[in-house]
Amino acid sequence: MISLAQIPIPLIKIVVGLLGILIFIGLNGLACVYLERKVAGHIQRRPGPFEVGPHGILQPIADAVKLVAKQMITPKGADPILYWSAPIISFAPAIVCFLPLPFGPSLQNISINIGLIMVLAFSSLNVLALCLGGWSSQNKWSLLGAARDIAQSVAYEIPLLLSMLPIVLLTGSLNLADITAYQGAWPWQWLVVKQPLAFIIFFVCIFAETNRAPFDLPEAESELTAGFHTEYAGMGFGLFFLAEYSYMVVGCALATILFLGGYQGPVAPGWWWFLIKVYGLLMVMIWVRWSFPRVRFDQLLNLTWKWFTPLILINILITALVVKLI
Amino acid sequence: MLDTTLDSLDLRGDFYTRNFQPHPSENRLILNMGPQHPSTHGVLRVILEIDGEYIVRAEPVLGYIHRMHERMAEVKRYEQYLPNLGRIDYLHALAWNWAYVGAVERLMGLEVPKRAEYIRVITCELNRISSHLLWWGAYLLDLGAFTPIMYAFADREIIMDILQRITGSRLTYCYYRFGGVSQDIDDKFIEQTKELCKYLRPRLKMYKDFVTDNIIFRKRVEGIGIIETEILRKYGATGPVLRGSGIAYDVRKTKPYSVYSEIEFDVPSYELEDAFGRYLVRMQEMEESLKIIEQCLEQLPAGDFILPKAPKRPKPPAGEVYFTVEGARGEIGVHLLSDGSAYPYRLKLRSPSFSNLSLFPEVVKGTLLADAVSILGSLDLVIPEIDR
Amino acid sequence: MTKEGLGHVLEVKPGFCALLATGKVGYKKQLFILPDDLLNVVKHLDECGYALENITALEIEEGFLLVYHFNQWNNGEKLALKVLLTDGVKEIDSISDVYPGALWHERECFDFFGIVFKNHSNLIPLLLDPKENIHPLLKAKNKRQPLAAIMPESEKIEQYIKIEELGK
Repeated sequence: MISLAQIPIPLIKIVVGLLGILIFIGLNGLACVYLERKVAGHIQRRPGPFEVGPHGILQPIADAVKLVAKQMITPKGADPILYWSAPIISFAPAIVCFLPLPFGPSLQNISINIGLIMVLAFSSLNVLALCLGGWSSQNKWSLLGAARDIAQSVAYEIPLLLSMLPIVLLTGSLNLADITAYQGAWPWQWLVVKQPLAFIIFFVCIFAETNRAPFDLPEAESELTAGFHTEYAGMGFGLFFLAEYSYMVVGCALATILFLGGYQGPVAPGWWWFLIKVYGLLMVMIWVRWSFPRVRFDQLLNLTWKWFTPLILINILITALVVKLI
Repeated sequence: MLDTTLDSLDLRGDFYTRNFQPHPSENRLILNMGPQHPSTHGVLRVILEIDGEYIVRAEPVLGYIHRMHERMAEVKRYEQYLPNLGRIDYLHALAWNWAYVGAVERLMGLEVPKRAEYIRVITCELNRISSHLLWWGAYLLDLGAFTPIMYAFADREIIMDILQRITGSRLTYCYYRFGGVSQDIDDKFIEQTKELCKYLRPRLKMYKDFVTDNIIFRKRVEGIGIIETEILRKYGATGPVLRGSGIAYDVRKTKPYSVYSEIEFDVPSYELEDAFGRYLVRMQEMEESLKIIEQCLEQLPAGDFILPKAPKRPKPPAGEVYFTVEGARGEIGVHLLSDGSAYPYRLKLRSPSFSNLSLFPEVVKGTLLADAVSILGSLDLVIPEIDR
Repeated sequence: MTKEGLGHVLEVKPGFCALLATGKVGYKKQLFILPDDLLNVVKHLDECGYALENITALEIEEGFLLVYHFNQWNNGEKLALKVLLTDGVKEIDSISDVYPGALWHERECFDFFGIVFKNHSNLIPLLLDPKENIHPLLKAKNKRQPLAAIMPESEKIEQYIKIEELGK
């Protein structure tokens, strides 16, 4: 019989943290669904969901119940193991991505010195999941979606990674708490002022990373019917969906930590500032999705390879020189 | 990945797929786009042979909403066939109404009263605007912009409300009669239409600012789907598809029917030859239609809305007639042959979408899948009109 | 087979086309030609810059009448080409080599009437079920009318033109 005191403290912390993250992801999914539908509705001159609960506030729950209750269908000829592992592979790393994020001054699950790299490494696993899902579905549209996703990830990952290097050069740390602490409380003390170009490129790449319009090419509803998740029903689709929203939050959280001062704010710094900034960026993502047409595939590749990569390299060079000289 | 060893699935597809590609190919993919694909709008099916995402060959497969309207014409009396016309092109139903009614009138030598002609022009142009608006929304939906279609539908709703009061239906109109229209327009209609014109002009300008000048949209349509004049001629394309390639052929202007010769309007045409040219033509046509409507409302003469002695159940003399009008998608033709009985002997419906789609395989060769969607949308197809 | 009530149109000689009166039909010109001359005439029309508008067919007492509609964009003047298939013949040359747009129109005629177009690259049903062999627009024998009854204009031949001189 192991007494409670024998369990190492870090383990308890991680388990509690994981539970908290799972609750946060679930709640965030519900909030994002509601937000997305409401914002989309108002952008499109309609009220959005209105029937379930006051102002449709319970609509996400109805959606979730519907997804859970739906039959999960494996298409004929699909590889069942790969097919069903894909949504799990898509969703599981999203949880890990939340671990090193400093939500508040003392609200960080594990403070490790490679926090940034950890987030990037695990968020990149999503590509594998999409590839597996598209590959194993026995559907040509899914296959095309998967192929697009691979090509796209090669294109956007490089500028995405490079756009964070100037921050690392400036702060000299990969620990996300240190990067937050480096920045001040007031907006002009945030790193976005020093690195505006890196912020723009980072934020645009986040759109591609999360497969959001105008870069939702692996899904591309009007071209590939639904792309990689054409064949998924019920919670298979639900997990992809949840993962997409989780990665959106991770992306926006990274943008907040790296460029917008994290949990710091002019008055009363704390996790509320962090959430305000994250959901502000999320609103921008939703806004963009419902306002712009989709770019073509080769246009995204052109943008990332011909514009973002050289630009961010120049940016790194200048930053490195400045850091060295001052 | 597709497992070719699966015997339980007939991977070689149905009749059309096998006809398209009799033998399996090693490095090309045969892709069935439709008939339930989101951007084939209804029930068009296109079989594509793709290499990566490049289209090597394409072939549309029709007939999923075929109702044999031409046979129906032969077993129905002339006036019984009228409601069918609204169901051929459900977006510009009044133009089809007009083509048929006009053909019968010409065969019988009926003189339509001036007022009725003006009413026809007004309602037909209103219908044209609503058709173009829907196309505009749906086209942007194809390109991945979700919002414009909601705005288009909101505006379209007003037009449908106006037409509903007069025609009695919202979509599949059956309003024109031999020798006139079924019901006179009233002051409220005129007032509502005038208000609509005032309302739509700034809206169209807003659409231009938000959509036409959008950089992503421009990149998706400029230089995409170039159709040369020679192809247009050989395939018999008409309407905005033709005018988007710089040929200002419009039945309303070139061979004016009804009172179009008394109205001042321009026929927009752009020598861009691409999807953007076709887009611009339609956007400007809406403004021209507004111009036409306003002029007609001003010049609207008093008088009968239908020829008093027009036969309710016509029995045209034997003979042949070919009557064309300008629909939202191009030249609509009705080729009617009568043997003197109360039933048409043969009725051929010449639908513009049919000809416009037939050049699609030619244009789409070598383009990307995403471009194919853009081209298909820019042709503005209404599938029931193609299948008839 | 009787040639009563057929008018003079069958007297068209090879190499010539008969220019018919148009009346109120809605064409600028309508020509009557023999099936063998079809390709030749269509090539001439192509050189004159006509656009193919429509191809339609109908069944009459004498056989099948095919009507080709052509159009000119600059003035909107339409030209109709009429070809009569008599004596139970159900075959005619395809004009799809000259006008590829005819491919679908011809397939439609094949669907509705069973008329076979020679040298058509892909003569499969366009609108109807490929498994069923139904031609819905064929008429019952007692319903068929003679050509003269439905096209009184075909009685009035204005002049005969040599095909080579069509463009003038």
